[in-house]
Amino acid sequence: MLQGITSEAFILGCSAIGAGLAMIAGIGPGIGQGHAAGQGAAAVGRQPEAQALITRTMLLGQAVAETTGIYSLVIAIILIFIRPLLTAYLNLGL
Amino acid sequence: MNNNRLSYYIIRRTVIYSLFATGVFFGFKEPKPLVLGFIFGTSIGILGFKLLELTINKAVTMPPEKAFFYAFCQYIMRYMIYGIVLAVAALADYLSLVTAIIGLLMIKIVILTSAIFNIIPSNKTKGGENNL
Repeated sequence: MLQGITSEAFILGCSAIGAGLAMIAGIGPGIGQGHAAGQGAAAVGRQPEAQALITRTMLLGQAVAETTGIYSLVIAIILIFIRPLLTAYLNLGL
Repeated sequence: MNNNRLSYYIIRRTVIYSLFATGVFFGFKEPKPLVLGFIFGTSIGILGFKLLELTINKAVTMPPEKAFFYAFCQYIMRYMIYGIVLAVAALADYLSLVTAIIGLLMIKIVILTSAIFNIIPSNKTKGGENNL
């Protein structure tokens, strides 16, 4: 192990890095939702009579697209608060 | 079907599904944290869906570049709210994290199952057109 760092602290640090990496996945749906909203606004500008249909489709699509962001958030929250890796290490009894 | 009716339909169906799920959770050994976590997650999920509807209704009236940044900022706000909800559910002993996650995803489950249930009968009657 690295000098001056306990194994527990090392695992917690790596868990935090993993949580940060998982949070990167939350940016993608945001960019996608923004892009969809921009294109939807352009489509409504071209065809104002189709506004209800466009917003309806966007509402359902964006609601489902958010799911992947929530997955990444769940992974990050579990890594930080539940600490499964530290528990697994302590259960090994090394 | 206009937007308000669609969101009302989805929210109503989410509440019905949630009541069924709550009944299932009452069958477990210690149902209180499960039920409380599920109600917490579902209520925040419904409010997040309503926030998404308001965001979209406003975004389509904006110029495309402004709509992009508006929708992105609103998404980050909703994401932070979801993060706080999950953190609270993870830290509090009286809330179950698993059922809070299921509750947050209930809206998505309802949308996907509604699509499946609506397509199957309409295939027989209207040539596969989705009635949602």
